[in-house]
Amino acid sequence: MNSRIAVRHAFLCTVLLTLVVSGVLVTAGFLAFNQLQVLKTQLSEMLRTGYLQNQEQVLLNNSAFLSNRLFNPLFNLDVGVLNEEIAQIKTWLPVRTFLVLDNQGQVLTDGSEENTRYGQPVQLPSELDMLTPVIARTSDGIELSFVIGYVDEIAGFAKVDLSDDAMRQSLTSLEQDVDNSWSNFSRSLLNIALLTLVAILLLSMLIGWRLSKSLSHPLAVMNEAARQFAQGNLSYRLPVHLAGEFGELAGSLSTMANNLRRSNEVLAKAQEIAGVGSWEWHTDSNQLLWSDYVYQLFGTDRQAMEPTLNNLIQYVKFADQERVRNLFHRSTLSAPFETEFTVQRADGSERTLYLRGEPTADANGAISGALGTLQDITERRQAEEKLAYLANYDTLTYLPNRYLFQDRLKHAMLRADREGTQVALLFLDLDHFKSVNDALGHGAGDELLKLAATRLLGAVRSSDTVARLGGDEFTLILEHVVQVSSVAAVAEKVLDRLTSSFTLGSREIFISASIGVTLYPSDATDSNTLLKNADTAMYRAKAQGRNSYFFYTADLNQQTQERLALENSLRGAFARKEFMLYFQPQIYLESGKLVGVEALLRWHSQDPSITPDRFIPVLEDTGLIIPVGEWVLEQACAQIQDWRPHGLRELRVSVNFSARQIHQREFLALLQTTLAKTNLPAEFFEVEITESTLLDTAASTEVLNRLQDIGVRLAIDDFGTGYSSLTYLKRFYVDTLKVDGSFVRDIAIDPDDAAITSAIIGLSQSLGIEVIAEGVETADQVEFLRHHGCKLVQGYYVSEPLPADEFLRWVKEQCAEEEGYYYWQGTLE
Amino acid sequence: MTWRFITRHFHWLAGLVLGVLFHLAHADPTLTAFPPFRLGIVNERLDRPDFALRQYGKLHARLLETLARHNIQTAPLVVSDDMAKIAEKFTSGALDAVIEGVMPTLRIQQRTGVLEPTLLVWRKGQRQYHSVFFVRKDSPFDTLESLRGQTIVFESPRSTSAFFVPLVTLKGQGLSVLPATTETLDAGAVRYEFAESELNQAYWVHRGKAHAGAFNDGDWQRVPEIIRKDLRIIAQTPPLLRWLFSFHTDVDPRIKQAVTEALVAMHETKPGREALQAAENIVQFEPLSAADIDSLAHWRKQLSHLDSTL
Repeated sequence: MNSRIAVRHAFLCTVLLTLVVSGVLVTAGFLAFNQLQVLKTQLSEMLRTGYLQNQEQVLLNNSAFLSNRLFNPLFNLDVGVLNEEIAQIKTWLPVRTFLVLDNQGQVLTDGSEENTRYGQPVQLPSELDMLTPVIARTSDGIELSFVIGYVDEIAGFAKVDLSDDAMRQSLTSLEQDVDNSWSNFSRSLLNIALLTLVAILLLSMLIGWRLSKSLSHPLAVMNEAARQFAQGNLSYRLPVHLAGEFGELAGSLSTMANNLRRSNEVLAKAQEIAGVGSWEWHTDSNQLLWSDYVYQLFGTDRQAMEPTLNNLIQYVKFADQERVRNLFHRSTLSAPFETEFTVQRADGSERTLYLRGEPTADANGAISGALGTLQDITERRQAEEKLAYLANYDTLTYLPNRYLFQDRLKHAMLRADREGTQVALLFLDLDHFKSVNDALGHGAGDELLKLAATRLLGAVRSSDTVARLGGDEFTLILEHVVQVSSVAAVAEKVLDRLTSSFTLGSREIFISASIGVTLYPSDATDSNTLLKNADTAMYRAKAQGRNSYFFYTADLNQQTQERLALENSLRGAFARKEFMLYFQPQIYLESGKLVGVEALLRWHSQDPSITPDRFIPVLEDTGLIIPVGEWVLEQACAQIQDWRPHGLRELRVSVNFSARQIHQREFLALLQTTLAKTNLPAEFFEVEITESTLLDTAASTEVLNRLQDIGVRLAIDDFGTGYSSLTYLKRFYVDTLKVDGSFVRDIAIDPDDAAITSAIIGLSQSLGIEVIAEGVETADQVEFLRHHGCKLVQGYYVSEPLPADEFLRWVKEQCAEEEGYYYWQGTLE
Repeated sequence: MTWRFITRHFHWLAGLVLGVLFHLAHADPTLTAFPPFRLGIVNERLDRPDFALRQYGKLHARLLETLARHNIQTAPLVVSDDMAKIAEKFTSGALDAVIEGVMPTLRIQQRTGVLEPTLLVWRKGQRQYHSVFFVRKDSPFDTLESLRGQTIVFESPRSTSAFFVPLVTLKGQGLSVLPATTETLDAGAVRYEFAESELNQAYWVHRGKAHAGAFNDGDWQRVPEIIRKDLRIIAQTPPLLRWLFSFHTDVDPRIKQAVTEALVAMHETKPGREALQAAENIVQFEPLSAADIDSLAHWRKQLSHLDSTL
């Protein structure tokens, strides 16, 4: 564009100057040429005339010579010599015919042997005489007539027909020479004219170019700048400082470019921040333009990827190519459009792009293209997919979660309605999982859940659904159930799979499960009820002793209602101060010395049938055990201190703590605080825990070791019913083992129980640990225990658990004081 | 280097040596002792000194080339203005051979006695010819006899057919024949003039400058038709050999043989024919036959008779 302006200006100036100067020169040349043409004609004519006159003079001179030469042979009638002379003359002159006439004017010879014109009379010019040869011009030559004589003797005449060919040729040659000279002159003149024209042209071009440069250069500079700006090179700088209006225009251009560049930078940055590129497509030119961010979307740059539709398509995955290409058809452009497609970027990674566009129209309203945006939605799509997954699946076991379970269950129900089959819903809860979780930590618990999930999946068909509702609760949806027995088979299979040991790190863990089963549509017709039924049945299975399954019945619903009522009652019981502590004495079997009491929680509810066995698990399940446990601790310690003035100065108290309590972060602090608060020496307080709590975990080890530091005693309750690991007894400082009442009860009649009890007693003795037999109710049991070396007993045989005041009364009534200690007066022999 | 050159080109060097030896074996080394062979001719155009050389130059060159192969040296062509000088040269032994017409040859032979006609020369394509006497058709002369007191034009005093033979013939008819310039009282004498060319003879007769003319039958044919149609032959002579090649009697027979062979064979090659063509359109040389010798004897006799009448 710049060069076109300059060239156009230069061209116009050049043409104008060339035309003017050339016009003057051509006019002058034309006039000179015409004059020279006239001069040339005159010159030619002069030369011709001179030449002819010269030729005639030569002939006239020759005629005298010829006359003398021919006189003798003619006079002697020597025709042979005449012929030779004629032949000789013909070599000198352009003679066509040479006639030698006798003095009568008749042909004597024409020079040839044949002499065919011999004797013919020839007309001679009348003015011919001895001294005057005559030259006459004919149409094609010259006729020369002269007398052949000597002095006044006339021997004859000669009539010579001369060809003027030579003369013509000479004239022609002369004229040609003139023409050639003229042509050369003209050519030289033309060359000079051409050279002059070229010089004028060059000079005009130079002048025109200079003029053009002075005028168009500023325009060209700004045009180039505008072109650069139009091509997107907004960093282009106007290379010269211009003055006047051009300078102001250049300044405006630069300002405009700077503003535009700034806008583009802002737009590009905004697009980069927003993750959105823009594009524009022109249907006429099929030209595709896009912003810089689009290159980032394709993982390339401006140099590597020309913005064309074909290049864009090349990056699109094959499956999406046709769809994307169809968007860019003029015929299909009518309304806003959008699509998603996957591209494979230059680095091989795949990204999901979201393209939106809408048609653009020209001034006439016709569709002229489209423009729109392009956005990378890969992360959004992944997040959506992940969200969908998280919403429907359990992240620990990768099993469907509660929501997906509900959905699957509803679909299964609908399918069963269509097919006329049944759906079985199994509600599974791992037995004692809580203990495992508490004892081995949540990491181990989670690992156990994952392993259990795997086994559950292996126990059912692929068409069935295994879901995790939370915690250790799983559900199984079995479809196409025709016979209930098949459901029972699956339940048994599941239980069987779970009874095999689980390996958690280096440890072998054995668990079981309780399964509740309900059927659709026979048990319920909605999913919530079905789930509740299965849950109820599962609790029933647990109540039955765990590691079993139970089919839901209508009765179970009543039991469930009762449990819910119990939970509700317990939640209010603490506030209503319905809990009380009972104390059961522990005495030496040999002396009956009262050495301690076990503090036992009792609930004075409206329903006297609710025993500790029922409500304490509920307290643990509901978490009420924590506040209630604190209350028990404080009450027990305070009660022991209250009894001191009554002579029970060295009485110790045992309090049961669950694993949840032991693992409570504030447990030790609470214990120490309570002891300090009640001024109870630590050696009079005994922490009683079950075997499962002893399971080796870092938390348990820490707590149990600190107990020793504090100085309180440690008793293992219900020893023999659980893991009974002797390792724990060796690792920790255990003061007391409590033989579970279930062994003691049949100690006299069941050899196994007797053997276990005696083994525990023997073990304790060898380890230096005290043994207390719980649940001692009969003299036989007392006898057996004494016989096998058991030192301490506790049970109804001595006293039932008593409220604090009744216990004091019992001490006063049934114990005898001796040297500050009380001895039970009952029968121990 | 020299030895290598000899061995490489041995075959053609040997051929060259053998060729030289063969030539030397066939050439007569004694011929080199003789003076160069000299051939003489008469220039028929006194106004053009080189006329004879132009005519006979090539023929002489061919002859020289052939004789050189026989170790015969050849002198330049001897050109003379007239027969008298030729005769003198023969007499002095300055010429070895001459080419001339029958009558000049016979006259030199009679004068010198050393001339030996050897070859017949086919000059102007003719082996032999005869002379004709002609007059204008419209003239009253019918016989040679009727020419008494008239003027006859001959070509030149050296011409055989256009002077000697007609002159001998006229005299043989008993006519008195005198040059036109001779002052005599014999009105019946036939006066003669020379026109210097056969063509002029015809024009002289045609234009009445002479009453009759005589030349050979070949010249008659060459007369322009426009002239000849107005002329008429009134008599002709017996045949006469066209031209003769004659040796000096002193020429060595071996040289005569070599020259004779060279001339007789000259027409057999293209260069030879071209040389003959240039020399007055000679067709060939051939040895004189017995008839030719008889013819020469006849004319020698006529010439003797003429001389006796002069």
